[in-house]
Amino acid sequence: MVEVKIGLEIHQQLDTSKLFCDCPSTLVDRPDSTFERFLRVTESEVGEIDRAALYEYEKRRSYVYQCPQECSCLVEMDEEPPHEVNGEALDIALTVSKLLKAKAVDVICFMRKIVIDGSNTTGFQRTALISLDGEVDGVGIATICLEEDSARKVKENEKKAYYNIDRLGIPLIEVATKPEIKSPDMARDVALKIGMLLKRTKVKKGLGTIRQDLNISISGMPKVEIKGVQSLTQIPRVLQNEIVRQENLAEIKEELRNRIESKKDFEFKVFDLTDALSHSKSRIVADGLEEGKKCLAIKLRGFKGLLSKSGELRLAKELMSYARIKGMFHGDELPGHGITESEVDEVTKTLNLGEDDSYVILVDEENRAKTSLEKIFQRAILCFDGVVPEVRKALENCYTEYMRPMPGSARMYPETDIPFTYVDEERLSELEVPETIEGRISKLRALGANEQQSMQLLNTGYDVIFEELVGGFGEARIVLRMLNNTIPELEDKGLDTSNIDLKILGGILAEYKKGRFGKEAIPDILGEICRERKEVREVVKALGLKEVELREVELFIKRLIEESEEMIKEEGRRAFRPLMGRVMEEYRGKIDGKVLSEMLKERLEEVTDEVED
Amino acid sequence: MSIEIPEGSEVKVEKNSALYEGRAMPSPEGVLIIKLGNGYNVGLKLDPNLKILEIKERARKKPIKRLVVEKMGGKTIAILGTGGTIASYVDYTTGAVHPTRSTGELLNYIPEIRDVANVRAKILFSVLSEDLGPKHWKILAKEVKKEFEEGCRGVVISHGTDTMSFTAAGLAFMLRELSGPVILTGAQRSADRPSSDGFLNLLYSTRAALTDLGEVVVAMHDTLSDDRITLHRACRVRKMHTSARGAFKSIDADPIGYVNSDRVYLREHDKKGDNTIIDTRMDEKVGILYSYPGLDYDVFEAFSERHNGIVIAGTGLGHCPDAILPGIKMAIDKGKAVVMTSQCIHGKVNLAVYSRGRELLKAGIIACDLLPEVAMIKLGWVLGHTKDQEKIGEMMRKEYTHEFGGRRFIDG
Repeated sequence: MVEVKIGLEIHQQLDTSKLFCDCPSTLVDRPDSTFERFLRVTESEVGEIDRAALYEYEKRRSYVYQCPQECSCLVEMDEEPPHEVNGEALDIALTVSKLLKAKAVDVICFMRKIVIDGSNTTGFQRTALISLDGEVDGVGIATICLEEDSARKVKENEKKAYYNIDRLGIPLIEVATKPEIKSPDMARDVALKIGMLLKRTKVKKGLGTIRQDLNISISGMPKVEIKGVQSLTQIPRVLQNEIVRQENLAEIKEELRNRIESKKDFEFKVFDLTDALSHSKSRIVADGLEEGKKCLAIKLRGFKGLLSKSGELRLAKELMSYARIKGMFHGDELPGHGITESEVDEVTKTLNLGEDDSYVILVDEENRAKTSLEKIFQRAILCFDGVVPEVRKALENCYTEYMRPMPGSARMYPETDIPFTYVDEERLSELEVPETIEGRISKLRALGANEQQSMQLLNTGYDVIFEELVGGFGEARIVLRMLNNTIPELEDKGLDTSNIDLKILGGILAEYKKGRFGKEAIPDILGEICRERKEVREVVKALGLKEVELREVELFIKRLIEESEEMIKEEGRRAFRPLMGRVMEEYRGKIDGKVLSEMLKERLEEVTDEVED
Repeated sequence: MSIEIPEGSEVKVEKNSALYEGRAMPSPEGVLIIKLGNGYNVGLKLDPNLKILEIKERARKKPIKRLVVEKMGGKTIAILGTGGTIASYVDYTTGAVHPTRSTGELLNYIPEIRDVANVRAKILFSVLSEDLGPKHWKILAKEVKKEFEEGCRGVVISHGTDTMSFTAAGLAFMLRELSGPVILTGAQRSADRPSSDGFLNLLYSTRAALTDLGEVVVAMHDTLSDDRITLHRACRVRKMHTSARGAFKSIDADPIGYVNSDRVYLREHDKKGDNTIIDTRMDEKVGILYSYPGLDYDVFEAFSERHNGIVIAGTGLGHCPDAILPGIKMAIDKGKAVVMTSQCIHGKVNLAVYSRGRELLKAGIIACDLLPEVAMIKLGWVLGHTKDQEKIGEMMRKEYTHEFGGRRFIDG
């Protein structure tokens, strides 16, 4: 078993107004205006230029920003200096520090972390270290930072990237663990625990409000960072895939070193195969040449057989994402893709390929092809060193792709627009530190949730809403179903549930208690509220008659069950059949049989459960 | 705490059982700011809980030498620095923003300038723009003349934005004839930020400096986008926003042109001549008094006693309270010049409409279609040439450098 060291970086949005202005922290898709900018690399205070910044700068793209007035002002547009730091957000960060037993610094200094991919209009992210050296479940917490969230990328092409600035400036807490996590599963558990602790404070809930970054190194190899893992459940798979990827790279390194003396034996030379492939039947080649593109190639010494090994993790894919290209031909897959054996022979001859050598062919405009080939070549040489320190992006299928070089400390310099914040003992001692997780669970259980349901409530952060609703309306079962089942189901369907709050859920319960609809209708009502962003009353009204009927059915079933008490006592759940017959007699054709059977089943289960208890 | 921790030294300290290792940064009184290995700065109070474990003097890094390739032949422009934030860097030992000190540093920031022209850069002053005044304008005017005489095609002056329009107007009166464009430019976001507007402003200004323009103009972002800069006439431009990129506006006049990635567009303008002639005589004892309800005789008298020329930023069409009327009369009797402008900024001054205006005219006030600041600078320049009241009025009413507002239309 290899030795694995994993560190976590958890980013959690806070449920306050923005960090450096008075805009609300909401997301709005409809922009009121747009503007366009460029960003330049600047030197850090120690006269160095950051590698990652330089990498973005070389792309020389412009950035188009969409601005919804509802949640952005001149501060987000970098047209006005930042205001004083949001005191509420700072208090939350200090509270989280206490929860994670981290020691707060005396004087908080906001920094500019250079990020010039356009995601910050300023070209930097404002961030401050609040506390350090904490602990959770035996894993060290390295740092806790308070920072501003970045703008939301809408779309991009080679020339421009488009961002919505609604998310820009939302306060984020970043909790970074020490690299003390030993396995992918443990990483998930620690992330879960940190998430639960964060939700004990005033943080945002729902999709996209918490993001996990991972860093991992294996047996002394360099550290790789993985950004943007979407859900906790994906953490182990992403890490397992990364371990395999790194092991593959280590193997490739060994193989290369067996075949080739030193890096110096690699030579970058571009070969023009346009003539050699001018009669090719390959669609890509033929179409490309038709458009006036060229076929250019480079030789990759010693790479034969190394490019297409291990499916999703094959090296060819790595080379392409490094060069930011969508497609290429390489020696390990040819002949194929319409390129014939005799054409391959021609290529072999032109490139003067040795037994162990492979190659890459690109069909593109000459200059672009050359630039891409150079990138491919650079990445290929790096294989001689095995795993490369870099930042990778997590993909939906739990694999990762190259994103950018690892940034250095040269990317940080002081944010001179924001004065130092002194944290005194008084402020720290006045902070209300939330109850422990154990204490919370026993409270939730007292209100009717079981252990597992309580954990889920704490996990999603709906525990407080649960308390409020059950306190006001009772109906713990219905409330649990809404919070623990219905909302996640709606999210699974891709609906944005961020507008569902105590007011809406309370409204639904109030209407339900008035008998406006049956509880079966709740998922539909919630779904409609998410989709249409309407008020509860409106939605209930729109559902209209059907719901009144359902309520009527419910009453009918209730009466029926009361009347048939004797039979049910005797037959238990087998009483379903005869009772269903009665229900169908009454409502056949009026209401869906499936709905009727579910309603009856549920009522019946309640009664039989009680009997069994 | 008695222990001295020199800035820049490597330190290792402990507080509340947490360990801090990094470099000592410039710190406020009673605090130690440390730059940690991860790049973050944190501050620790110098109290008994702070245990200093180690202080190590750090070897000073040699400044990075940069290679500057100057284009040989071709056109040359001059860039004169006055201390604005357009081309500045953060000094890590003091945390302060400094102007760049050489052409090399400047070109390092904006290498594209090399494709436009040869550049000779000179830093004349390193002062905040609010501290620049007529004395600096005089030096600038002389330097501009010198640069043109030494063969420069155009002069770009980098300037803090706060008082850029003041310096522009001062130069417009002092530079009587021009043998090339004089472009003032600056930044609303300092050049140590990746999003600084200064890069584009400076780059596009160098292109405007190669045209046949014979006027002083201010060149700044048109809007909040990095797409074009607008060229404003020196005496009609005003900073109309505290922080936005598109803060500079031509008031009651069209901008004289713009520069975008494709071209430099200029509407009708004064063409450059063969010579640069300067006339820097200026009476600095001029000032602006902002009129307000309740402004009284004593205030006016105290103000007028210190000045040879008084510009009133009047209300509306150009009015002020009855209480200061005797003061105005007395000042004029004493041989001082009093000029009326409007704090409305937009619209003409007209003293013929209401009785107060007519009284002011009778008292001998000079009504001018000038922005208040421009009226003050022009008055200073006029008083530098004559103290004769009739002559003063004549010169104030004569247009020297497109300083009067033109025909008014909707939208200013």
